[in-house]
Amino acid sequence: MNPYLILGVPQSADDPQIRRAYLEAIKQATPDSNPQRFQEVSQAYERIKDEPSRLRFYLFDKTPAGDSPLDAFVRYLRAQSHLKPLPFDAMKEFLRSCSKT
Amino acid sequence: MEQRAREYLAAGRFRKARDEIKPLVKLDRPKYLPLLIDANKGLAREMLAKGQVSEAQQVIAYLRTIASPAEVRALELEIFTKSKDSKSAQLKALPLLTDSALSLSEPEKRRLADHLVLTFLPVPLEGASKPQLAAEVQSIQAAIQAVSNNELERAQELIRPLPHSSILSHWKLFVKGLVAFYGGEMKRAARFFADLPPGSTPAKASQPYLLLAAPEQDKGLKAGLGMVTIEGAARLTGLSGLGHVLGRADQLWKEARYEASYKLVRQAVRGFPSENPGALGALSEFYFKAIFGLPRQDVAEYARLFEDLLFEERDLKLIERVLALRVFALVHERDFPLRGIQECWTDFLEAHERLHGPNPRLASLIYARVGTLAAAQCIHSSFEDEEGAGWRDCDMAIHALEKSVELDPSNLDSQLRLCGVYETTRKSRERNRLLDTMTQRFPQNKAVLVQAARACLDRQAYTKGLDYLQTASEVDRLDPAIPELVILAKVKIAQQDYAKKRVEKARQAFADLAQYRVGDSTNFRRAHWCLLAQEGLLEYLHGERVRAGQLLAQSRAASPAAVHFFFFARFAFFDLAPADAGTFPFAEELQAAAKEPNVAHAALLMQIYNYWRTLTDPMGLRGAEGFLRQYLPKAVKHSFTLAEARRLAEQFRAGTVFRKEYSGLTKAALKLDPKDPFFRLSGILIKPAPTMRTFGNPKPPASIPQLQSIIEEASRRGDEATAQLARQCLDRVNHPLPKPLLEPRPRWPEDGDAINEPGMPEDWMPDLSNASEAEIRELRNSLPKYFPREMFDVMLAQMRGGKRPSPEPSFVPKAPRVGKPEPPKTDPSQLEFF
Repeated sequence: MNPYLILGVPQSADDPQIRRAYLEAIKQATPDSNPQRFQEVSQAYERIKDEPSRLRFYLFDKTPAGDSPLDAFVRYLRAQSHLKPLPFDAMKEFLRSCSKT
Repeated sequence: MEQRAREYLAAGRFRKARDEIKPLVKLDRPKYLPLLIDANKGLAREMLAKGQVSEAQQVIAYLRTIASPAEVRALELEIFTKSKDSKSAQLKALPLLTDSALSLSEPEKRRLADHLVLTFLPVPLEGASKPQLAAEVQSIQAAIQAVSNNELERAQELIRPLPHSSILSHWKLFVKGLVAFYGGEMKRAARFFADLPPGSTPAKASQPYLLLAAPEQDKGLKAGLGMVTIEGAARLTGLSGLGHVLGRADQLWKEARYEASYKLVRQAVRGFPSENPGALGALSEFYFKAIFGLPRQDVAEYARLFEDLLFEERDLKLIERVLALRVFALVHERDFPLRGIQECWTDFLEAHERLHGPNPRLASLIYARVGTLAAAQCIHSSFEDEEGAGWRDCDMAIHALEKSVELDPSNLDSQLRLCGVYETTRKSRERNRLLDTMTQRFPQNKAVLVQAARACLDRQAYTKGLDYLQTASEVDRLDPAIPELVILAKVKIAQQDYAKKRVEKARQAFADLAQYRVGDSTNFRRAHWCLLAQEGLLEYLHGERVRAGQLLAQSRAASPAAVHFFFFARFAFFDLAPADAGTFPFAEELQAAAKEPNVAHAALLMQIYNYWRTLTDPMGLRGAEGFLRQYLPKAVKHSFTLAEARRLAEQFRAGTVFRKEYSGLTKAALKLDPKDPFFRLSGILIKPAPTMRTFGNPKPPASIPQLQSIIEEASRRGDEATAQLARQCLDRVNHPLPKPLLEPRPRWPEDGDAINEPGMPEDWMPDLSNASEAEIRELRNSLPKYFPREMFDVMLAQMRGGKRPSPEPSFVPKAPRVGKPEPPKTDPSQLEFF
């Protein structure tokens, strides 16, 4: 999976920002409490920790982002730590569309 | 007729049911009227669901003449909601909900309540028959608005007064779920959403949230999600309208219609593809990386999409060109001539620069990639004299890596690789110059220091080499490569001291090596018996013969067997003795020790040979090879176990000149166990490469079923190493690397090499010597753009004795692409690098 999504940082993030996100993530998932997540986070950090690594990821990474377009899309959504609520008009429209099905 | 009517009703065929019941009503109105009402209500709902509002109104008008007003009200309300007349819907819904005379079911009540909430109009509290309900509706509406404004606490406060018994309790649950979701409490949110009554509007609206909050919903994802859920998920990211496209694109993808899926998104979604962070960026990333996870049989088809985009699409966006060029270069880096791949990456760089501006670091990485590919070694066969040296394109590797270093002098990987290529191509001066620069650029880098030390040892600058090693060991005290090089340097220094008659100093150097000794007798650099043998030989050559005899006797006693001691000593003698020292003084003892050959001893002899092979001049190997050629066939004639045979065979696999002996061992081992997967695989590996599938030749080689059978047998026996190797071979058979296509590449002569150039076109090209001009043109046309045409012409000319294809006439239609090999899945960075 995309290391930026795993660490919850934008692709424009710099070294200190990525390091902070990494340290925060491993504080939440220590090797004892959640070894799988810890490994995932550590690997993600290794892949984008400095500029050459990030460029290498950008140029040569071959890891598929999902099994299908929808799977990739949902993975992306799930990785968003802070989705903003829909504006009221959009929410009304969304709820009404749900009632019609 | 009654039975048929009831069956139609049960089956939801309301129009048929109504037609059947009408005559019955005439016969017995009280009995059959309820059935007629049901049929008409069902029909009206069906029409409303299909959006046939005016037709439904006609049915409802008829219903008013036969049914009570209460029975018709729910339908009338639906009519109002469909016509988007929210005020009317509200006015109708409130009395329905508060009319105790009506016996509405719970789902019906919820449906009405949903409509009431969804009007999002202020409910008049004054005069309402049930002011509490009106207040609850208002609370829910206000709470939803508060969530939208991200006022999560206020939303909670607003819904708190609603009792569990309220008809709007499911809305309360929904708002709680929203508050938990946007508060980051995903598990809590999932619990609230999961408890919503099925079929209600909040339950439907919660689906996208549930999808994101509960990963276990993946089952639903795979089974196929409703459009509302997908659209809802899209709306959550502000991409309203994407859901429909995404649902269809997903369906096409799952039907393996990859190109159609891509083109649908490309056409329907503005801003696609994108490199920006966000949902579109994620979707773009999916489409431009999915090829690396596709089933092998689908890869070629999807790759063609990018080829078409690049070469046939006139309105290609720059960003799309950048992404497509990247995929194209990566997919074809193993099955295209390197020149084509380099051209593709150059186009990428040019497009990338136009898009994002110049980026020397990025360019440096790309040139490093090309250089690494050029330096990669074909592992088609385990015998590197067949394929390996012939495949290397050292000139291109050097050029690309030098360019990479020039663009980014901080690119350490490129410099280390360039160093390796210089070493392989024996460009010592360039290597030493580069290493000098590297030690200044990276003074504390262990890899650089070790490389620099090696180079010093090569040019006999042992003291300087030891200085580098000293610094390297301060950086990493645990790296075993460092003490091994220290021993190598110190033995050489001792050799110089002995030669200059500084015997005591030389002896002291060997005494200092005691700290590096290890107990493993097969570690020929650090084992005690090996150090004793070298010291003994130097003492024999330059010091006291008595002491030499003692040291050699100790070494012999500590060695695994006498034959190993003398064989090792033979190599060490030629390594340490001056040029005029004459022949190996213990040759007779070596022959005598070899009188009882066996396979177990042979394995260790081969291991000693392989150890010295990397250190000794090729001339020095010849005698040892002659000895082994005599020893090995005799050893195989004596009884042995399969495990012993395998240990020996594994030593052959690292070698180059013992094909006949390896073959003899394989045959003997297969007599012990004809199904042994390791030796069956050996039987295939020993055969020359032409048994493998070659580029442009679609006929599968006979070894494919054999390899598949070997994989099965090895897996059955739990021999994962053999299964893995067989899988690699199968992969290589299916996806061979192209050989050098144009001029013969420089190949470094090895001992016993015949003077012939590998990789000539006839080895891999389909036989075109008798092909017609049309066939040749078709093949030439079918080559993708980045496949250099001039290479094809030169190969063809070579094959046909200098005759080039005639110019292409204008009327010849473009031939379909045929025989394009599928891209392999191997990452070139994992290839063996010199």
